[in-house]
Amino acid sequence: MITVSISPLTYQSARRPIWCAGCGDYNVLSALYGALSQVKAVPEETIIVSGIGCSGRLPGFVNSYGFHTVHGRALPIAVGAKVARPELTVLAVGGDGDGMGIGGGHLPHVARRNPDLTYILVDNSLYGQTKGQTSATTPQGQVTSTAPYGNRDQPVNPVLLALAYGASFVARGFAGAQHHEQLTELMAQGIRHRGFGFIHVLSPCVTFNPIETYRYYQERVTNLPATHNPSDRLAALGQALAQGEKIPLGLFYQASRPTLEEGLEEIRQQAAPEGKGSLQELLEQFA
Amino acid sequence: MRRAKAVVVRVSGRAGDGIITAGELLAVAAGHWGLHSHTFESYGAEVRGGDTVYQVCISPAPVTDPGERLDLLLAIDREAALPHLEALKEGGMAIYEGAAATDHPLACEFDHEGHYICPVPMAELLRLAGASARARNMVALGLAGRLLGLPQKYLTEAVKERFPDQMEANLTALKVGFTYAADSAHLKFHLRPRQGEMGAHLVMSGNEAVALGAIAAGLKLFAGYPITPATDIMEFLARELPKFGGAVLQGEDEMAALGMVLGASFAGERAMAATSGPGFTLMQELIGLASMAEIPAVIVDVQRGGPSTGLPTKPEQADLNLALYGSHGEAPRIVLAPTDVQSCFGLTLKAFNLADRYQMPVIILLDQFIAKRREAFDRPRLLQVHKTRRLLPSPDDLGGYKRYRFTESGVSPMARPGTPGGTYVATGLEHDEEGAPSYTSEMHRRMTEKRFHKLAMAGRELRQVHVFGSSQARVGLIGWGSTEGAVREAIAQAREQGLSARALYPLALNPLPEAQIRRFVRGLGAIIVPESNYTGQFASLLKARLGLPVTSLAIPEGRPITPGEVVAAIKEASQP
Repeated sequence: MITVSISPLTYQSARRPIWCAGCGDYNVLSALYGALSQVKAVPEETIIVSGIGCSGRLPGFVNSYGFHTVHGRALPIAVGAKVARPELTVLAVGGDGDGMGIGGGHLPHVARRNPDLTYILVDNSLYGQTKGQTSATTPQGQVTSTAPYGNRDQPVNPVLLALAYGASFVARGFAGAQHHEQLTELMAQGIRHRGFGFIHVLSPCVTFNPIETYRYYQERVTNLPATHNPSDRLAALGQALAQGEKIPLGLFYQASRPTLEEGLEEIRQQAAPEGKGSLQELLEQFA
Repeated sequence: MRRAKAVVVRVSGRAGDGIITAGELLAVAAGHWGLHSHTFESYGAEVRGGDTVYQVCISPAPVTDPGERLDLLLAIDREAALPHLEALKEGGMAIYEGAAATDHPLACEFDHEGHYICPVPMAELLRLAGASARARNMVALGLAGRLLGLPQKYLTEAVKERFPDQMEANLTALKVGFTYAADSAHLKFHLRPRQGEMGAHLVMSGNEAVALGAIAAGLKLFAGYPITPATDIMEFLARELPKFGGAVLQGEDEMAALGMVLGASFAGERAMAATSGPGFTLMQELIGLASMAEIPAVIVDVQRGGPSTGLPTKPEQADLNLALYGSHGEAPRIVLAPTDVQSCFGLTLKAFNLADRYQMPVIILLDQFIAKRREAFDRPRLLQVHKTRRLLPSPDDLGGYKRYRFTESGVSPMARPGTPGGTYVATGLEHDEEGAPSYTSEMHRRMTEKRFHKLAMAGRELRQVHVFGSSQARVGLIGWGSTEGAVREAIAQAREQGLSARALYPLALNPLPEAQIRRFVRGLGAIIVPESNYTGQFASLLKARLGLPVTSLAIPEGRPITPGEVVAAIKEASQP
């Protein structure tokens, strides 16, 4: 058997990304190549499910199985894939509109079920693909094409939500060049984590967002304090609330609990302790 | 098939009285003994307090509808009996809770309509037996079973199976009713199974038959969200599917549920969702995705009265347009319509084969009537269960694999994740053969043709129709789904009145077996299309697709169409 050495290039597909020059999503993609190579993911044993938006196009640029779906439903579709084929590595990718707006109702339920998959929320604080409308993470007061007098709604805090919903792995990275290594590392950790990994990535939109720029984030991002204990959920919640002038990056929280797939396997054992059911016997229930 | 010896029984009371349980167990016991039955239940959407009615027609010969006029009415009290007395046949019998006229069990009075009216002191009998007064439904079951001539053992077994935890209390009450009727002089109905059918039947509901069909098909993931009247499918599978190596997921909504199904199917396993109107509406966008990205999926819609929350517990056939055309754009899908409980099993099995073979969504349209009623039928021959799998890429396909390659049949090999060389991205965007987004006019036209060509290919194996009645008739009926039983009975009744008619029921509504329908209508002077809705959706479809001059018999009352209504329409159409 020929052993092919795995490198980040292993995961590069023949298709060229369609993002604007300078888009944060390029850094998200290259960090993902790096993370997949770190965990030695086998391309044909990896599925990446995405929703709609600029970041939803990401699976097309990765050498793996991919499913570019509809707006907001990447998470349940990824759950179905993982439950059907627990032996595969499954990731979900989507933007802030996809995951916090139209699909925001799925996160609590995926978090509590704890399937062994990794969700990368690529946050540019607005709808970039449709040229800059307000999203669920647009800051208050920001002027957008759908909020010409300024956005009046308070933005959601994705890390705080994921922690509150009980996700078993919660991290935040930044798609800036100096933070590339950290982002790669967080993604690799998220994929290795047995359970639902939530990674919030700040990814500037260079075309439609003049506020949350690379510089904006560079001035604000800071690593979580060295003393932060990722098994302390209360401390993680405290750090997540510190959004504003200082935006902490790193692993907020990690816990070990049974995965959805393990739970379903347990149910199968419980339902049929002596091996597989028989259709004939099942029919006899009706005789 | 006239049912000379059929007995129609109605149990009535209020929600929480156990009316449906009593009716179901009567049908189950009769079926297990070897009789045939057909049932209908009607209740309010409230768990307690609303009026509840369960009707069962029991006969030695197969029955196709729950009957109209009653032979026997069992009511939980006098108030629950009164609204149903006018449905009694002449000589029919009404039993309800009340002080007995004499010491003789089931001593009857005649009312002025010629009905036997028999108050039975159910609560008092229960008290004497040391049982709870709440078990009056079991007394009623015992009374009905004995009056019909069912052996006690089948009733006892049915009760034991239903109440493994409260067996004793319910058996005591059953015995109270059975013994009381045994001492009466009114053993009016002597039913016996036909030769060779003793103990041969399975008795189940349409929902259960769908769930069994799915297990037989190799279902790996069921995902749903509780919704009346489809929930039984999920509850049954939650209990049984894990025994077959599968899993059931309860989604946070129906979009999540169908999303899970599509994810599992993309990953290579058989998956199904079941829902009713409101949930089916929420699923529409994902049905379009399955059609566009060519993902096999089986979706069951148990229709209930609509629109909006509508009549959650009542049957209606008003989701046909949604099943045929729902989701934006033009998204080909197969639509199947079982016409009785037995066909729910076979068509569900077939739905999985079709979904895999043509890589598209397959919708199974049931309604509350077919989903909840219980019918007895012969065991399916499981040796004949035939499973087709998806077309997988050959080693040649895997060099420069094109997931959406143009082929003669329109069906392209679908790589199962895990297959080296088969990586691709499925997408809801219009795409080229490799799956890369492509919006050219040429590509959209060709890919649309490819997707619709698969539907046309599927039509070649969807020609199955039920045709019955007189081939010489000038009056024809074309219907779909759960009205078939009433139409069979109506044609038999019409024949007794010297009128002849014939009927056709396609099992596939999309693609429609047009050639079979054209052949069927040759020589007909009138075509009646019965359906339980207001706008005559199927009649419109037949007009649009085949240009047929149909007469719509659309009844929007949230109840099954009756044979009497169909007979009246046949009569009218038979006028010179």
